[in-house]
Amino acid sequence: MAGTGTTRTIKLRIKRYRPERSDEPFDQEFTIPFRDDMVVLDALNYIKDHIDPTLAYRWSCRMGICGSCGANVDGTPKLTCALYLKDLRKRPVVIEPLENFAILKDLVVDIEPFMEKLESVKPYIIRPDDRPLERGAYRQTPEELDLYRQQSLCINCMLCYAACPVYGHDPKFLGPAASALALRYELDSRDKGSEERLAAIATEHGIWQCTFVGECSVVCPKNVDPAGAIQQLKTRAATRLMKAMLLPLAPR
Amino acid sequence: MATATVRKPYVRPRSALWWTKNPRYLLFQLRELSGAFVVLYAFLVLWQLWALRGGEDAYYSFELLWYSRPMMVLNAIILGFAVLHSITWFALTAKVPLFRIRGRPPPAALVVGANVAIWVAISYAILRLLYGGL
Repeated sequence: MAGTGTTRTIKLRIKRYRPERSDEPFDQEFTIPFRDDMVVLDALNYIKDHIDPTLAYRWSCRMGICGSCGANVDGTPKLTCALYLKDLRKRPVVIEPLENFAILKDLVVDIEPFMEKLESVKPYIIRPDDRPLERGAYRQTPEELDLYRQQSLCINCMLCYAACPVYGHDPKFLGPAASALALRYELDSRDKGSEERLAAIATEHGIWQCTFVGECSVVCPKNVDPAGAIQQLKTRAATRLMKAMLLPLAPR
Repeated sequence: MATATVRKPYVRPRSALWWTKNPRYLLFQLRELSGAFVVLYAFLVLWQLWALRGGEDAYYSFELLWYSRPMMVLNAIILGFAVLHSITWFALTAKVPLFRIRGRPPPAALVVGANVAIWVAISYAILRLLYGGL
């Protein structure tokens, strides 16, 4: 270990919620030894291993791919596996469950509404003709793949929902990640389901509810730019509407 | 023996001051508010036209008010919000790439910069036309 031999410590304030014991969350402070190479998730693991085994939080890969370990750290939605303690200025470091989600226990939030939103955008390739398997895969050039690569990088970490005040205001709002996923299929050359998908998302609680705060794209750890995706979907939906009005007989 | 699981999701109350937590939320609120000021200016112009229709005396009374200090302050505030409204609107344009250059969306700085440049050029042309320059 690098250092002088004296152990540095860091104080963390963690939002706890124990549904079996209390009706409301409470704050609990922990002071733990700390090194420069520790991320916030390491601190949570230290507490669970050495101080309080009842602390509940989600994590899996530890490398910014699984999207499980999101939490609000000092008020900002972050992947706790990708945030170094040494980069945090405030003391104590405040760790809370992702904003805008119901808390199930400690840092674990209810992701069920999010999963329903993902399903609602029809995130699969829709074809009018279901080609038999023996005819092989639908082929695509690297250039066609590039069109939707950015949106396909989403890891469903839900940081964008925690950052979105529109979602905080109305839990029915489709929200950033689900919209980005919709655009990912909209831009896929193999997909022919645009009409069906846009009809599902261009609704009151769908993309039109976005007021373009833009914070979702700021907090996105994968540079998916959901805010941009929603604006592109709005353009597509508006174009579809205009076409239907001006050219009612044209194929869509 | 296993104890029964208690599932009791806790929904946090939302603070009415959520927009003070992050400077970008504040900017968003100001941007939304700017729309109201743009509408207010449209009403002021309608008022001006109405006064113009009322004849010379009516327009003179209007001008007395129009060039008063409170109205100048109000106009300065409206100008500030109008500029904010326009800049944030043009910043949005880069989010919807309508064309691609060598398979990539054009750089955001280019799209926003071009829009702002056209906006400034047209505004200046109107100023030249109406007042002969700044």
